[in-house]
This record gives sequence, C-alpha cells and structure tokens, in this order.
Amino acid sequence: MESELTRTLRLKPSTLKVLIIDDSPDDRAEMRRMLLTGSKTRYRFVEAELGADGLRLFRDGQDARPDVVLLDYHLPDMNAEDVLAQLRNGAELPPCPVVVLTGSEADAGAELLRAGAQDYLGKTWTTAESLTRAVENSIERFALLSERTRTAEQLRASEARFRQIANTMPQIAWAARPDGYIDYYNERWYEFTGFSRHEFGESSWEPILHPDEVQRCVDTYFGCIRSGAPYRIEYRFKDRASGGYRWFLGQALPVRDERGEITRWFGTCTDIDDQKRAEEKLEAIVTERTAKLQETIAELESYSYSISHDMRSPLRAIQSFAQILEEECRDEVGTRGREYIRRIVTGADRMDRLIQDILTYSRVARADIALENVDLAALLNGILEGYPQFQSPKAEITVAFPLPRVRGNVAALTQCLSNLVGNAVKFVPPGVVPHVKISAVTRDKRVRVSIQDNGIGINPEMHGKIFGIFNRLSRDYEGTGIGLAVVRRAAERMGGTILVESELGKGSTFHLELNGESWD
Amino acid sequence: MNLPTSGPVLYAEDDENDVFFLQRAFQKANLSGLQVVYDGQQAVDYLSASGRDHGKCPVPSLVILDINMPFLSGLEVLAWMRKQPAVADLPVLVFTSSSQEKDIEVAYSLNAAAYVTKPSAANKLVEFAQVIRAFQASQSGVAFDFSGVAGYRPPPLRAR
Repeated sequence: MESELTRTLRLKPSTLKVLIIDDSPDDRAEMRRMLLTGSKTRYRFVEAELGADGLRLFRDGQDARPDVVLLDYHLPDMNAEDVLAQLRNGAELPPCPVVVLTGSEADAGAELLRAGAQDYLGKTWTTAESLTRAVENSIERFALLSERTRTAEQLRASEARFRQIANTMPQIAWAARPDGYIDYYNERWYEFTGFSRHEFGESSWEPILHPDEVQRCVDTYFGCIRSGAPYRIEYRFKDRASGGYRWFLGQALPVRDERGEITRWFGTCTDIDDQKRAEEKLEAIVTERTAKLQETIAELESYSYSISHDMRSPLRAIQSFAQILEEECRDEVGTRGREYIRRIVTGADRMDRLIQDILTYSRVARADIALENVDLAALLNGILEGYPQFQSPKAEITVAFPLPRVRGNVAALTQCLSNLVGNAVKFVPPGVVPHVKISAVTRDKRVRVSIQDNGIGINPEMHGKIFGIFNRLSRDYEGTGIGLAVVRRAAERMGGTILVESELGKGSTFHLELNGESWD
Repeated sequence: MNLPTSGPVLYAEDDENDVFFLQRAFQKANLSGLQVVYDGQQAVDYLSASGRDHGKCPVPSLVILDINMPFLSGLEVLAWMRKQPAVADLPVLVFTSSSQEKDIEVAYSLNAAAYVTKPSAANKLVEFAQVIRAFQASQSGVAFDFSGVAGYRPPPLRAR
C-alpha cells in the first residue's frame, strides 16, 4: 500500500498555497517577494492580518486550507504560540506546517518548536533562500511527522480495539513478549485474581496455580516460548470466590513478523471446571456402571455355566442307567426294549453334546484370550491328524503350504479350524467324498484363511443366519447349531472375522480373516 | 506320619445316582471298602471322628470329594482337612462335574492328588475303580500318578 508520505511527496502540488498571517502589509509583501524569487516552486498566497482571521480559514473546510503557514510572532490579537495552540487543538501536530517569523531573538525558538512550529526565522536576517528552504524543509518534515503520528495513532487504535475485544471475552486473555514476559491481562484476570493492575511478569500466574501444577505449567510454558509451538495445557487456578480450585484450559499462539520471528504471544485461560467436573462425574458413572455390568455378566455367565453343569448330572444318570439296563437286563427287555434303550442313549448323547457345545461357546465368549504368534501350519496339521474323518479315504483334504503365522490364540484357533474343517467334511451329499482345499493369503498384515469344500452349499439368504447360535439349516445332518457361533466368537476374540461365500449345490468357502503375526 | 493304605475310600457325594454308580464300579472291580458320606458336613464329621475313634471311623486311605454338596462344598472340606494335623496329609481326589478353571486351580492349590471330571456314562467308572485299586496297592499315597484316569484334569500351568 502506498504510504501517506510518498503520496504527499509525489502529489506535491505544483502550486503551494501559503497563508501569511502578519499585520504588517510591508512584511507580507516582502515575504511574497522572497518566496517568489527564492525557488522554482509556484506559490499562491492567502493573507490574514489577525490570528483569528488566519484560524478561521482552517474552520472553513479542506479546500480553504493552506499547505503551509508563515506566522508572524507578534500579532495584534494574539501571539504565535496562541495561534499554534488553537491550530493543534490538543493534537500532536497542527493541520499543516507552520514557520514562525520572529521579530527579535527574545522570541524563544525552542518554545515555538514545542508549541508545534516546524521552524522559526528572525525577520531581520531572513533572505529569500533561507525562507524558501525553511518553508520547503518544513513541508517535508511535517509530512514525515504526520506519517509517524498516524502510524502511532493506528497502533493505539488497534491496541484499544484489541483491549476492547479482549475485555468483552468471557475468558481471561493475556499477551506476552517473545521472551514470555506477560505484559498485558484483560479485565477478567483482575476480576478473577483480585490482583492489582501492576502485577505483571512471566510468573505472574504462579501464585494462584495449584501447587502440584506449577512445575508442569512452567515447563510447558517456557518449552513453548522457546520452541514457538502452540501452547495448550490444563491446570487448576485458585478461585478467590470459593477458596477452592477451578480447572482452566490455557492456550496461546505466537504472532510472527514477515521474517517469521515471534513478536508476541497471545493467550487465553478458559474456565473448563464445569466440563471437567461433568466429565469426571460421567467417568465415575461409566466406571460404576461398567463394574455393575461386568458383575451382572459374570453372574449370568456363572449362572448359565452352572445350569449347564447341573443339566449334565441328571443326564449322566439317564445315560448310565440306560447302559446298565442294557447290560444287566437285556434278556428281560427284549429286542424292542433294547431299541428303546438305544434311542434313550442316542437322545442323551445328543443332549450331552448340546450342553458341551454351550459350555464351549460360553468359554470362548468369556475366557481370557491371550494372543501370541501361532504357526498355522503346525496347528492345522495337528487338527487334521487328530481325527479319522479328516483323512483319506474318508475325506480328501489338501492344504496349500506354506501357511503364514498369525496373531491368535491356540485354543480359539483350534475351535475355529476344527469346526470349519469339520463342517466342510460333514455337509456333503450322501455318498460323496468330501474334497476340501485350505489356503491362506496375506494382505495388509491380515491373513485370510480359506476353507473351500464340495459340499451341499448354503442358500445366500441364509448367510446372515448361520453364525448365530442354535441356527441349523438342515435336519439331515447331526449338529447342535452352535459350531459356527463358536467360530465367530472365537474369531472376534482374536480380532478376526469370518465370512462365507456359497450357493446351494455349489459348495461353500469360508474365509477366516486374522491378524498376521506381530511383535508388539 | 504313617498313612494307612488299607483304610477305606471315603466318598463324599450328595447325588445318590453317582453313589450307586461308584459302588457298582467298585463291585465290578472287586474292590471293597467304599465309605460314603452324603454332604460336606458329614465328611468333616467322619474325618474328625477318624482321628479319635479308629474302630468306628477308620482313617481313609483315599478321600474322594464331590464339589457341589450341601452345607460344605468339597473344596471347603479339602481346605478344612489341610488344617487338621490328623488328616492334613491324606490323599484327596476331587471328583466333580465341574470343569471350571477356578475349581481346578483351587483344588490343586490345596494339594489335591488329582482333579477328575465325572464321566458321562457309568461304564468308565469301572476303570476308575481299577485305578483306585492300583493306588491302594502301590502304597505311594499322594505321590500316586492319577493322570491316566479318564476325565483327569492337570493342574493349571501357573500352579504347576
């Protein structure tokens, strides 16, 4: 932006309007003559005999105003100092440069300069050159001075604006020098602390800080002052009103000049005590509720666990007595009786499996699952070798070795894989030898284990249901409807997921997605 | 202390069926001397008396404790026993339908000789009775290795 000074200099009018205030017509004529001969500058003259007449011109508006005033010291109605005082009207500078012409050495030049004159000359030894130089220098100096005054005024105005804004804020606001010395606080500070307006300084907040927080605050504050990083910290201030402490959020940002140097810090202290207490209360409530909930869950689990246990006890009686009946009374009960016994045993066996599956499920759901890096290949080999139904010729299972290691839990992984492979070989049409392909791929630190079978497949509409507990899709196959629920819970406990791709009659592929091995 | 190896097997069990099954298994295994009590308190009473009156209540060679019983649980009986000098060193077998880790941990922390879950069918109990006979014959007391019994649960890792 063009500064006021350059504009004044550039637009220096080719004709300067000079106001001469002097009661002597001869002196006025002499001054005109000297100026007109003294330089190439063209002058236009306005003249006044009395100080009051000269001053009136300034009241008549911008157009009437002269560019420079030549002022006689002794006027009939007032002296030059009076004229200057009225021209300034309390301001730093008069509206235009004033050169005073003094009649004798007794007219104190220093006083005149203080009064706002740009220069003074003794009438008796004034020459054309000296007067012209005095006028032109005065104009130039005046332009410089008014520029400086304007800047200072702007600064004052902006500071006043800042203070006004700062005082309308609900927060405490402050400003600090680049070295961290706080040289300004808004009204809120004095209201809150009751401090006097002269207590400043880099540690002026120390007396009201909670003793436990002083060191942390000092370290953080001067850390930011040194590094220039935004300052943000929570601390407690002593509250004069209650005698207790209130939580505040302190924040500050540096202001930088065009070179990037920090010139100032502006900061605020926001009272967050209510939020903080609400948070603490909420936290306490959450903690309490969580504890209660955990208690309830634990109770429920132990409840369902013991129910399952208590159910096994009468079941044991049924199974055992059926067995004993078969052993000791086979002749009395006859063929039909033995068939009924067989059905009792089958029913009891099924019930036993159901209860055991529920126990497994509840164990998977609640047991502590410690994660470690697991060798998938070794684990899978163990499972495949452990069951005759997983071996040729009962089933053809191929594994695409090598398999990656995963982050998991051996017991939970065993549950997942044995259930998935078990399902793959179980759900085949009658007379069909199950063919199962097991493979794994690693992507983005996740391992996807896929188990593909040639089984009966699953209607896509049912895909959402099969992982729920007790959901069975077929009465033709033995099962409790818990296996896939166990798989899902076990997978979830290891941070994994289970997905299915399948269509009726086209086999199924289950994808078990797990975290890859890690060391953290 | 010299432990009797010929004393009876004391079985504390509130489920009459389970009592019947074990009695039957003892018969099948040609084993005698099964002394049954029907709750935890009775077990404590018997063991207290065995210290005083060897004629009426001979000191058992083995104590089999169910866990869930009226008045005192099997684990409470076990804890009590370990504080009674007269019976503190008797070998104890915890025989239960519970497979809760917590129960297993507590049992072994009280120096149980073995933790065995009840089999789902009575036939397996005959083998169990045979192991008990082997135990009595071995005269090795608490040091006897029961890990071959069906339903045997080893001590948890941290207790081992």
